[in-house]
Amino acid sequence: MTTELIILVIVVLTALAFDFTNGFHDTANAMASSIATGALKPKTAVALSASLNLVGAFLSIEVAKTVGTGLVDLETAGGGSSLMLIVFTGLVGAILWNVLTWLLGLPSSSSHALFGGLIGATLASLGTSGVLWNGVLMKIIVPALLAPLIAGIIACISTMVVYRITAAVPENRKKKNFRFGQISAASLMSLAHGTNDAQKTMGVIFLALVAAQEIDPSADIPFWVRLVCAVAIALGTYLGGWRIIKTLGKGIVDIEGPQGFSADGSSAAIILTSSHFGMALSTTHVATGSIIGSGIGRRVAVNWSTARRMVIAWIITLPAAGSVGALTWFVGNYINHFTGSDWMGEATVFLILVGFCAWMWAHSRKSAISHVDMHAGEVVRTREVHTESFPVVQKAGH
Amino acid sequence: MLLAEIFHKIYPVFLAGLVFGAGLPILYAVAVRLMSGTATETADGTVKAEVHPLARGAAYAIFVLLALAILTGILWIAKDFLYAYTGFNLFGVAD
Repeated sequence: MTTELIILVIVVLTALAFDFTNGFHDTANAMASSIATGALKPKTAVALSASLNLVGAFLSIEVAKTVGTGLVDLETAGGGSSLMLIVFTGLVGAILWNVLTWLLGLPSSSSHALFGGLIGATLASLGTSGVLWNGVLMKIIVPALLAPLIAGIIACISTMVVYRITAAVPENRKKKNFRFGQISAASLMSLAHGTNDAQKTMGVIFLALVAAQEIDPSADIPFWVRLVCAVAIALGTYLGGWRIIKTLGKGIVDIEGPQGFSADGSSAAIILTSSHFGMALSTTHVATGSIIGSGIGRRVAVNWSTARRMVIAWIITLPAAGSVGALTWFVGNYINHFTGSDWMGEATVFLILVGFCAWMWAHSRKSAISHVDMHAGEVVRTREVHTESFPVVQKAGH
Repeated sequence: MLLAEIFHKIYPVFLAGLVFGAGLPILYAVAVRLMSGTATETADGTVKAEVHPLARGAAYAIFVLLALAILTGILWIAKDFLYAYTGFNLFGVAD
């Protein structure tokens, strides 16, 4: 096995790890409100979302072969091992940010984390000239600020009107009818998520294959790349980021059937149409905005302190993932530089990644949250009280 | 000029979101309302809900329309896939 091949394997594995975190981070966007309203049982919801993500991933065809087009100018990296290190440390930045925000139960955009990581690594490697700042402003910052606002207004209007129209409809009938609508909207979101998000990882792996000269830049994406990316995102989705689902489904506003339906309808429509009409909006920002908007539309209390924490997380996603990307680039680059090795830097950064993820996972076990915490309708805080003293099996009895 | 540029990009996104994101759920709500009928109190005091055949027809028409909208949504997501494998440019916008 040559050094290039070892590094290629590490980069591909890291890209798949990112794809996996992308899946479990975003389950909440499509499914949190369906779970909160009881339209779907928690396990059914994640299984449905995972299957649709899997199908969706195979539907993505126009894979962005140049990752981060319009954001970073990777042409000047000159290809080969230096390009590989940028992509690799960018991924590390994105994964660590995704895992940290999951630990904190905060929904944040996986795409922003990926772009943030890449931008940071590019800055460290190529300096400010490698980053296309106007692209960063127009493709990341502006949409991040506007997406929750747009989604919130639309979901608010929708919820208000839906409630007014159906005021005379008996509760049980309302619940039954809106359940079906909500599942449809959530399913569309899951399918679209698979199509849009899996292809980002496919693009990253393709870029790594090109940098390692394993594939011709004009070639099609190999089938095995499609397959592993689809499986990784589906597995991640099925695992379910329960912490984030809890925050989004129960932590901001109380969600009723018709309201969850309005929120999901608004999210699905915006996600499907926004990029065609000129500005791709992040699923996370849209879904969160819709849920808050639907709460305002129904005039229920919004937990603004949680909402504020989320907005702060969105704002720092880019610089945070970027800093980790840049920092790990320096670590990897200088270890290679001083030891004269071709691979020790990458190996060290990989160990750092594994170490931090293991530490955060261990930390998460202290207050584990899983599908048994997702009772429909009520905000459940029972688990925190007696988590440590009981084995997991007994908790399912709540 | 930056604000104008942003506004120029954002208003079609907002309008499309409003038409589909609020319009379709509201239509669905209308259908649900039509299906629930009007409550009338009979002579013996019990409340009965009756659905006018015309209202039922209209509700079914809306459900069909919404089913078509969902189907369109699926085809929309798959448009590039369809174009690449069948050469069929469904909405005329596949890349």
